[in-house]
Amino acid sequence: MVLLDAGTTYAKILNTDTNDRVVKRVSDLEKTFKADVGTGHNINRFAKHSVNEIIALANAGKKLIKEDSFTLLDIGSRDAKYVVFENRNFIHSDWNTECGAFTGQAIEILGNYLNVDYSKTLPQKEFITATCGLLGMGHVFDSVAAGVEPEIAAARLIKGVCISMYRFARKPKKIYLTGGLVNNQLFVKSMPCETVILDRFTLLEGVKEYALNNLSK
Amino acid sequence: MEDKDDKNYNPMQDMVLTRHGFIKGKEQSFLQNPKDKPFVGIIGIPPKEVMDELIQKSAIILSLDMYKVDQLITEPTDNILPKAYCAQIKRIIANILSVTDYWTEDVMDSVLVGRNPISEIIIEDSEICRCNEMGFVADFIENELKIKLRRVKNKDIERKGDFICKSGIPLDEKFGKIAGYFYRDMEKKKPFRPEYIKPKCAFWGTPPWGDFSIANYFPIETHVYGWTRCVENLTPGDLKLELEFDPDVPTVFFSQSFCPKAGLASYLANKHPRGIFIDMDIGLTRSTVAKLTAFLQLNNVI
Ligand code: SF4
Repeated sequence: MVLLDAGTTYAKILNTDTNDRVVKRVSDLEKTFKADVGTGHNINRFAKHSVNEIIALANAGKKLIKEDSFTLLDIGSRDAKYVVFENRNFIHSDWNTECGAFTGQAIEILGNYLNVDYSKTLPQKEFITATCGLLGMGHVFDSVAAGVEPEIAAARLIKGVCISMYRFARKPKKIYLTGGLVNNQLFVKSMPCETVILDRFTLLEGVKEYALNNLSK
Repeated sequence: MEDKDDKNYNPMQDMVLTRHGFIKGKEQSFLQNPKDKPFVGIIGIPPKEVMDELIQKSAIILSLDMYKVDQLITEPTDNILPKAYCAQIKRIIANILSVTDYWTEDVMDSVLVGRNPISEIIIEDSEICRCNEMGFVADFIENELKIKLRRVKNKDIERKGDFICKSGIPLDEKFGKIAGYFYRDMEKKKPFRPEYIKPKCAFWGTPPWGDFSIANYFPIETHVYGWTRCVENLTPGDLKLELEFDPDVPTVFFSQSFCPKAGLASYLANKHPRGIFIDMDIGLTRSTVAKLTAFLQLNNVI
């Protein structure tokens, strides 16, 4: 079975027969590509069946996380969502698509534009708050214009995004984190609480669960 | 068709205003000839004494909240309101302007020459039951449309009950029936009292003005709380009632985007053990639907 998580920018593909895992840009997916099941913003174009992203995330959390109570947060390039479980029971979830949107993408664009190597940048205490990626970028450019080093300004925005994501997820003591930003060390180090990284194929584990329970019958 | 000169003509028959608008056929005919009776628009839920007075005067009453509700008309408000604005306020203004449509093609022009046939608009703005945006609407009506305006406060505190809110009829119909209930009460018709159903989940908030189709995702076992429940009780300014929720069932705390009640909704959603805050502008988006259905599914509601 071929599973696909087609986000706004990246597509994650998992072949459950061979266990092959591929990440590529959504724009690089062949037009004829059709996964068996999938999830994500762009899924309807590329898969025969689609699974609600939050359901996929919840399934993934239940399967991959051994603790009975946990918060799993997925930060994509365009949106963020989380699920909270207590005693293995679903308690809460939310998905922000409007405010706080495009933060992942903004961080990536900013890094390229300002030529900042996030792996070599230290987390900052000060932070820039921004309701969305675009406003955040504007603040970073303003700071740079005011004399702040580009990597410091970018790191402050990242700190701001981390704090707002932490608040968005209802300030848990510990966060399981998935999504594109897990590869950004500066982001992970800037999180204000204990953060455990799950890889980018996490959502696909949830899709697999869904497919096994609903499609193979 | 009703003949309005007929002695048996009962103006109450023109007041069948559900959220689906007027009963077909009557709408145009009376809008084209409302001159013989006071033609009064109402916004919100005016208190009982005001409604009684209108009925005595045989006024034709147009609910500007509900009228034409199924059409998402925003165009007429484009020059007046910013894009990021409450869909319901847009609708109210569009509704007022659209009444003029029956008189002349050019809505804006006719607005400026004051040819709107509505003789008076009554705004219920009891601070808490409606947002401050109503102040702006009132100013617009008075100064731009030059329609006589009366501001009234609804301080009715006698709660009439919430049978519809806690019944097993589909959520979409609940909204319609609750609006209709207000008119039934005016008409002194027997109140509609459907049977109680045990809830699986709840909807808290104002009616989803921007797109009623959101209601289709809820099961019939959805109880209604918040301002909509206050409306069924005919106590729209009853903040204490509005703040109530049922902690035992998963609850969707809804607000229109750009509505000040969003603050209340998100606060209560955080307080509720299994609550979620959902806001919506005009038209449901894919992500709102996904967020809502995931919430209902993960809570084993659907
Ligand atoms: S939905 Fe909110 S902002 Fe809109 S009219 Fe109602 S109270 Fe006001």
